[in-house]
Amino acid sequence: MTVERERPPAIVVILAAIAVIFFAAPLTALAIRAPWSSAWELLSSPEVRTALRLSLVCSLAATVLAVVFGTPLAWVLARVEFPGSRVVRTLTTLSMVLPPVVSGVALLLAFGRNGIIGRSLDDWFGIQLPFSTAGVILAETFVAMPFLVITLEGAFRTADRRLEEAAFTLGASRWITFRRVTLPAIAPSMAAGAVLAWARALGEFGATITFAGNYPGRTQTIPLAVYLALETNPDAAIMLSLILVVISFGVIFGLRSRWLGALTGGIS
Amino acid sequence: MTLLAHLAVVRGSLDLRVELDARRGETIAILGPNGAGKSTLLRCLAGLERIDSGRLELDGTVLDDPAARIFIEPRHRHIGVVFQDDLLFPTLTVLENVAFGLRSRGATKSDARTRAASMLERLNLSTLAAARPAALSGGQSQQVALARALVTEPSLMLLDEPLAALDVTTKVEIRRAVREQLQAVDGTRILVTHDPVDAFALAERVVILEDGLISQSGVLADVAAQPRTRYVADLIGVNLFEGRATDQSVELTDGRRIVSASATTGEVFVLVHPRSVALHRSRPEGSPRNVWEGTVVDVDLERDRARVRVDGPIALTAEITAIAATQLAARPGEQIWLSVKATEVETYPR
Repeated sequence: MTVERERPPAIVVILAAIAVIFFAAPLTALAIRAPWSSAWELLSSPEVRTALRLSLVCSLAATVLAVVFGTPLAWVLARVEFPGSRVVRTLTTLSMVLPPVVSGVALLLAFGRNGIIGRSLDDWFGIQLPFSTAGVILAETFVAMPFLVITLEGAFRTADRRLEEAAFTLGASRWITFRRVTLPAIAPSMAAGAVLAWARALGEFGATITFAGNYPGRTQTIPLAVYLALETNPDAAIMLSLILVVISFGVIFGLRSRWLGALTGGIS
Repeated sequence: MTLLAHLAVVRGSLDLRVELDARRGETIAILGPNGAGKSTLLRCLAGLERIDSGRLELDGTVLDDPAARIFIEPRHRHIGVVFQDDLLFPTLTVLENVAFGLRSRGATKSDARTRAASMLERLNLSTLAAARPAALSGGQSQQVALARALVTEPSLMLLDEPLAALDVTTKVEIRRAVREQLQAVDGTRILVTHDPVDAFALAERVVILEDGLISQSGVLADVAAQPRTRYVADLIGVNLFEGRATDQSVELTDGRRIVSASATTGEVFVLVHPRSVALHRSRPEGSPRNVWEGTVVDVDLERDRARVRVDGPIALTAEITAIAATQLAARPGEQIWLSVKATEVETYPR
């Protein structure tokens, strides 16, 4: 019995193998065609290093924003019943499935110089978000935050409320209870959500190029640099792509093994 | 009276109406079947639920009074709660768990730790101070939960089935520990349980809660001597009927008659202790005034005793020795004769 179960039908194995090849081939091609001999030279070039630094700064800033605003949002979505909560839930996670370029256009209409909010920001504070580094962070947050929210919302739902009640009876304020009881309970989910959000922010392309443009040193992150370099310097494009692949691989690999429980518990 | 709880709460099918007063230093056991509203009552006292109407007062401070728009949050009530599933904080150590209440109430970190450590010492739990709750046994967790509640020296200690989740052996041990520790509490203790043994071991007074209402209350011995509901009768294992007594004969609510030597007349409860019910293979001769034939429904063996449930004109449970049960061949389905002396039929007013 067990032997039979361990040996799946040949057709299944073949189809599964094709799927594996489909995913593995492009990534292997990247590794094979990578100009390893000039790798260091390419990666240490000022343009690439600038793009790398900008990518890291922006994606980390977006992750911080996602945690700061996304955690309370997830808490409200999980714990507070209010009219229209389903609409709010859909609205705040919509950018996950929206084509990023659409998100970029929408951001322009809101925060662009003539946008419904952007105009006031410019008039009152002289703040112009489009085509600035802040704009990159904004675009990345817009696209990445839902990953954190959706992971945390599930965690807040499944966290044992009775532990919070126990804390209340011990004289703890809502804030202390949140910090010492609720937060530690959802910490694994928060880590998983933050890593997912960060990875999404790091790879963000469509919304960024639409809303923030492609200015080296200011808004040109690695994905944008890859796109540009494909025309002018294919070797650099390959190396940069490889970096993103390695980072993404590490994220998913780590999540799969360490946080899968928290994650699936969170999404289901 | 340090605790005054007059409250009404409706939650789904539960309609809880309770008037409860407790003195400082007193332990009251709230005993009742599942769904009677015991836990809801406790949650109201703790402030985890608001009462619909009525008034809760502790040491002269109003905790909850919807009419006066007063509601004191749980954290501002001077209470300690021991929950059924201990509910220790899994990410904190045992010491941090016990220090939690002191820290939340403003003690410095070192002061809280010192006091928590001495509390653990009092309960012989010092060796567990650095452990996480996941590493504890059920009995240890429950004791840590007790320590966590006790350390803040609450005016009102609330225990929700603190021993229910434990196995029999552990239960005996922890019951003793709880008993000792509760005696040291200055305030009022309210214990919710469905186990009369817990109530007997830990409380001076019992309140029987059935279907949201207090059906009986008082010193446990009195409640046990004169049960007033089927639940209490079953709890202490006696036969209970209701009827109308006239001149040494009681007409039960179903029309059957039972002879009693008690002098009470009018609406009465009739109590027959199982040990007073004799069983016979054939119709007994002699003095017993109450004799019926019935069918054995069920036999429960408990060590050297056998509890035999007999259906008949009046359904009764008899308690005889296991040997007698064997000799009588009292097996389910067998016809059997029962007799009860009139002097063994107790009556008391309804």
